[in-house]
Amino acid sequence: MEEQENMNKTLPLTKKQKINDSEFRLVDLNVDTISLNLTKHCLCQLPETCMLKEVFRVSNVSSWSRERLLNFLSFARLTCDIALKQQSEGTICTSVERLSNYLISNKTSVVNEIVSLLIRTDPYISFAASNALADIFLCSQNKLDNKWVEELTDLFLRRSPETLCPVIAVFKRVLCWRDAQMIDSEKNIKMPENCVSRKLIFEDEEIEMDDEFGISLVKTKVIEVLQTQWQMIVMKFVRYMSSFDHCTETTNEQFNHKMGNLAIIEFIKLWTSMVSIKTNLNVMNIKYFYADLGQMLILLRRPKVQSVIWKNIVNLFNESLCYTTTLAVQGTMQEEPCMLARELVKVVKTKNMLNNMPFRKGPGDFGGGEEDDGDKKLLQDTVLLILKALAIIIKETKNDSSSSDSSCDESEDSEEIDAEMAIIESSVNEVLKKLDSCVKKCMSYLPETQIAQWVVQLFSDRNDVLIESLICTIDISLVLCYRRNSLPMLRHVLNPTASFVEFLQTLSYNNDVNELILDLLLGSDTSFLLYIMRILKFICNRWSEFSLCCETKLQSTMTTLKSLQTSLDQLIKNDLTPYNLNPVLRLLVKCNGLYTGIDVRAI
Amino acid sequence: MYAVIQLDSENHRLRPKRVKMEFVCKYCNRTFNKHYSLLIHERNHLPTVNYRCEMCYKSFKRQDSLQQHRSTHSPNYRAGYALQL
Repeated sequence: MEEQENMNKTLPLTKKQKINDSEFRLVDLNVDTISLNLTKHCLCQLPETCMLKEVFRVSNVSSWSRERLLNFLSFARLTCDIALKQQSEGTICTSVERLSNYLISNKTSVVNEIVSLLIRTDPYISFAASNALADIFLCSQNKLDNKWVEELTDLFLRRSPETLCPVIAVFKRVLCWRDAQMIDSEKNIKMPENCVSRKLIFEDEEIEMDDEFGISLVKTKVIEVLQTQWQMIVMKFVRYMSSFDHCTETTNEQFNHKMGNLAIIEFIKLWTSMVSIKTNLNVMNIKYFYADLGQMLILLRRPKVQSVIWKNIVNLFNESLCYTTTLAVQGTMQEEPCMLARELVKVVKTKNMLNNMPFRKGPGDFGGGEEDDGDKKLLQDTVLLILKALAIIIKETKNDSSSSDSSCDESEDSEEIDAEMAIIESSVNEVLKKLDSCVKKCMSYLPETQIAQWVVQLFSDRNDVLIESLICTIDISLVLCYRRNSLPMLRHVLNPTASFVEFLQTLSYNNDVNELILDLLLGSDTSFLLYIMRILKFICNRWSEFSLCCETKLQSTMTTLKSLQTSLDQLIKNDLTPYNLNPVLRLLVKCNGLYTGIDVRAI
Repeated sequence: MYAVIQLDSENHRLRPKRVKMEFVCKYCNRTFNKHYSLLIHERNHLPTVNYRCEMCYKSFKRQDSLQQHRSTHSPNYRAGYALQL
């Protein structure tokens, strides 16, 4: 404290006066002192010599020296960052609040200048400007000026892609703010006792963190401005990507090539974040961003797509087809993902999209011979995407045929619907054959391994996608294979029992299966709750078929389910579950009753 | 989460209708027909919850695992102040 006071005393008074070059150093010292105090979360003890009001009343920052500019941008970012952190904690130092308000008030158009710094060729300046601007946007909340966003969107549309990484980063940081905030909230802020702080009062305590501080308002404004230009931006990038493949890294434009490649990837990642469930954006706000997804599909039909581009486009589609998180449990599905799913299935079926998959680095189908192991993650994501697309078109047809909800139990379809399902079944069969052949060419699975089994083997190193693919497989199977006149071959290929047994087998290799299942069920990093509901309902409804298919594995499978039932029962009794798990417990009791021959209804 | 009740405006006086409920996600406004479907969906919006030991800061996915872990610090350790993150 004493040390800080001494430091403050050494600073000369910088009253409002014309600042010339020789005085820059003194102003910068003020910035340094304020920064130091900001990191301690309070500016109340600053001497009057540090004129808070003046530090952001600067103009023509573009002409500043590099070092000074970087210092200023970092300071702007720090100010907003601290203000945001204090707001999220519910108490803000009034001096910090004043300082951030001076910046946001933009009296000397400094924010507009920061926007223009984004396209500087110096990567340090553009990076610092990008971070500062994102935090200014978030901090400004209901004072966010639409013109700033319009200027930013204009850069996105007009500038060449090689220069756009910092611009894209601003959009990404603003729209995905929630995740960053959650990590930051781990650090508890300790403000000094003598700080003059203000408590923020919220009318509705249940309201979301984003809403509390108007951050959702910022996101909505950004989305609204961006969506007006989105189609043009997509077209610009698609054109660029189409021409990009012809460039090689050996040309003298190596730097541009690298930056262009980076911008493409960042652009696709931004799009992925916007449509992702985890970003928590309102579905009505992001509806518009689903419209042009088909444009990206054209790129996957072309040969020699770079594996990193392929992977990112597939990720974008996987997030857009939010099957296990949303569509699988919805009564009425959104039209946009269904359309994308139909397009995808068509491209796989008729345009041999899978042959273009750059699994290995070489010429020919799936990237050629067997010189290397190939990119397994790329294969996993592609397979998951196709399984999701199939599950969606099947659910869409089933929904159209019935006004009932999303349960996938057997139902009596009318003849007309049955005919429609037969056509879809034939398409699905064709696509699954191509998928099976592709996976077996890429991975060394035995020819007799069925999809139901290799799905578990292929995804065994990634829990989240493993569970997603299992849900897709069981949903495809339950609708297609258990209707009248279904293809017997499909029932064998997609057998849910085979997948479940294989899944338990995989879990049991090194660990306690029960512990792993509980981790999956109670954690929110996979969609295991949905899978266990689906498989338990299947076991209850088709007990005889299940017990026959399990063969020698029936006893171990049912021991696992019994043990899970006991653990869940204990957890529920001790109130240690993070959500209502009674429906799962009821199904487990029913399954175990069927095994032991006890009718649970009689209990 | 909130539910919207939809009534058949033309026929609800003539015969008793099954009330169709719509459950709306508070994060993204997507709608679901069943309460449990909404629960399944909304879990995807939540950040991953970890339960952290206040003695050694080791984190666990489950509360029961944390309770079990606590006993390793001291047999007389008092249960019940889990620090939920």
